[in-house]
Amino acid sequence: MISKNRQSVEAFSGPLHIFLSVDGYVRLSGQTLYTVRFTHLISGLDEFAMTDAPSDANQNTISGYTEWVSETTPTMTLGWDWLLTTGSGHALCQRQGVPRSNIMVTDEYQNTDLGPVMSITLLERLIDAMPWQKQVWHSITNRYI
Amino acid sequence: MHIISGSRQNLSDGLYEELAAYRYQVFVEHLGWQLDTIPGHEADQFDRDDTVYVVARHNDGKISGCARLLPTCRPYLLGEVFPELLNGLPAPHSPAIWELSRFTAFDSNGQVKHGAGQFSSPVAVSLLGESIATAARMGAQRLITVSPVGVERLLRRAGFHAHRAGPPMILGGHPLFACWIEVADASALVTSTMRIQ
Repeated sequence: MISKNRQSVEAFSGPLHIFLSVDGYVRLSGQTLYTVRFTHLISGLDEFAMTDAPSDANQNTISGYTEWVSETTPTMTLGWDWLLTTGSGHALCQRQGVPRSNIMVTDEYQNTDLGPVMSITLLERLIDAMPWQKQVWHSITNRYI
Repeated sequence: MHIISGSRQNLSDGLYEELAAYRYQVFVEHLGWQLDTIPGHEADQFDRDDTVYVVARHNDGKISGCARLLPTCRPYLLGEVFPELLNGLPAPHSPAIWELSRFTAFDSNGQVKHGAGQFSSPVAVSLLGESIATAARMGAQRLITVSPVGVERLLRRAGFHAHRAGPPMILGGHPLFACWIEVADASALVTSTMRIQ
């Protein structure tokens, strides 16, 4: 199904309706988005942030980024920043800032974009429901230790 | 600091050779890129007569940063070497789309910020702004660049409208991705950004 408002390269992933458009966005409905499985690609530490940190920077925080990709064709990419804080014997790893992706969420009929703001909101909900922290921690310790 | 731009024949005498030596120092010697190039002179098949260079220089004339602009209607780095970063889409081919490459800000103290950090300094932001303005004068509406992961968020923090063209891939041990930079939004930012004199 090709949107009447834009050109698309038809690329279906099984029963999922996921379209790669000529503008680079991968379009899918919110309903479909929450059925997609993302796998970990790479995570890293904010090396530049560490070197540029002010002298009074909180030494109990570590920040970095993580990148995930979908197991679909076309491929969807989802990346975000994270912050690990420690204190009182506890460590908390949280998403920071807005996610980065090539995803544009559409309405259920895939005729209308929900727009970047709503897409980001839905991606944030998706990320926050994913058990990503363990994978990121494992990747960081393997890469840097 | 001042920034100039132009094709090889428009650069002042000796500047192109200086630029090639500077690029060798930065990309080969400091960043360790495995490039097939003459020692002391970094150039590849995309350094052509129609290639546009943006060069930042200290007041003493020493080069402090550079960028390379290529029209996508002729062979360019992403299209020829890294098309897999476009997620299956054909490489752009348009006079309104230019590629930004060989971007670096190497300061006078010999400190180069590489990877994602190369976009974080004020000099880098000014150089990027001038690169975008130069491309815009030549008709570009969008730039595309192959960059390390992390550049996208730095560009956004600096106020540029940047977004990924496809998923990152691990190439040469480094996660790289193709990044769009929207020129129209950036031009407004450049006019409001104080340039380093």
